[in-house]
Amino acid sequence: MVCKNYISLITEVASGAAGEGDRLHLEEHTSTCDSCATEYARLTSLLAMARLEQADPGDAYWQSYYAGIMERIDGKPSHPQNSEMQPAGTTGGELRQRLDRLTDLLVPRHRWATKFVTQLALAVLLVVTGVLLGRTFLSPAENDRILAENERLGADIQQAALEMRAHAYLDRSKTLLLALVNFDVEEDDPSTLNFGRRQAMAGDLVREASFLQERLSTAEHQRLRRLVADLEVILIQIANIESAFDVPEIEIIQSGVNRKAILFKIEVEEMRRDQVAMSATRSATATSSV
Amino acid sequence: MTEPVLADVATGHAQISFREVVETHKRSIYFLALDLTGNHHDAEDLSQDAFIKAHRGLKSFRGEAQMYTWLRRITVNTYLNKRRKKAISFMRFFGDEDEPEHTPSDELAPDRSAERGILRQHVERALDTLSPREKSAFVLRHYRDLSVKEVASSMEVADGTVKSLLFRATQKLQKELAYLQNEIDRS
Repeated sequence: MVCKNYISLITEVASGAAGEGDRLHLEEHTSTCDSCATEYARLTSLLAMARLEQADPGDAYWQSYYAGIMERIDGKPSHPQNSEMQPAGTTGGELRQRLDRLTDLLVPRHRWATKFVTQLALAVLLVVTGVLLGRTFLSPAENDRILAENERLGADIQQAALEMRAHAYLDRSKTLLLALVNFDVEEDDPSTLNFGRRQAMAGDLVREASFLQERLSTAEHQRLRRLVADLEVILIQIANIESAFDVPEIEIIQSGVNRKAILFKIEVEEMRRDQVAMSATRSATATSSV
Repeated sequence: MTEPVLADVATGHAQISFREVVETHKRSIYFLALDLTGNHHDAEDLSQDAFIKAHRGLKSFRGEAQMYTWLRRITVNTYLNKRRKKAISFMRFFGDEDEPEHTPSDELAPDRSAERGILRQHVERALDTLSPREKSAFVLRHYRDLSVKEVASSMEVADGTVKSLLFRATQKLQKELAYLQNEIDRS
């Protein structure tokens, strides 16, 4: 029977994780404890079994090894399925780079921003067209009434656009936070976090948060404004982390997200938005059926 | 074929060619790749990928680390990235974790006539139960005899992370190979 206090130490020393002090401590113990000595010997021999003998592929293979690499560097991969490894200097790489540059020129960096701007521009165009048509074809009194109506409509459209923008902000923040919250600091590789990109995203969102907080001024937007402010604090922390390997800082952010129930609040806000959209659809259907 | 780049690798004033780098380190990098992947085809791919990445980065190699240490780090990172991509594509198709295939130990009856081959199969299967990071730490520590600090530097993680990876890897192997040792003890 292995001594209870030494079970973990035996594994630690055999695994190669223990320091010299722990190793000597175990050796001292095993010199007087047969069962622990047997268990330690058993485990080390078991790990030695895991050491496989590897066959040498032979001289012919080694002679052509360098040529094989150069073929791949020159764009003639010996294994076409690994095309993602093709170096940037090759024809395929150049073409991809050119396409990327063209895409950068034609497509703005943030698709959600493009969508928002397009929708706003279309709404404004619609209002202006209405005003011009009204001035051309209607009497002055009728014209004034329609102008007032259009102004109200314009304000509504602006509110809706602002809400849409706020929800786009919540969606992007949620994606960012989920990646951080689901990151296991013990298990996961920090390089998989793609931290530079996420920090840039956090920086963008902080700027967006200031814009939204200024404009979400009405009483009905109070809850949304508070959520944007809570998120801003977390996003500033993310933007200011110095390294993806700063585990304590990541843990602070994770606990901040959990403590303030940020993700839950975003979910609630999404549900609220869906309910409003659903009731609007219902009333529109009812009006058209009447 | 393009002319191989010449790079000042800061080994004194000497300038060595990419060809020399490959010729000097091809065996050690290939065998490290073989330990990590477990088969010749993948080891060839991995080691070539590592050299191609080194070719791209040779000019930026500042010589602060030894050339082999640098190549070893590239190999381990390339292995981990490949395994991650493989896991992601696996999850996309099947919506599940990249669980290694595993056959319960009691299905395998050791055959004395091919004991060596069977032992190898068992060990490979046991090694497959390790996560890519556990396997990398284990291979570097036990097959390459690197210190915990060197393993940490090769994997670009903290010493404590390596220790916990080694501990977990050992526990898994202990569990997976225990029955095999019982068989050997009995015989």
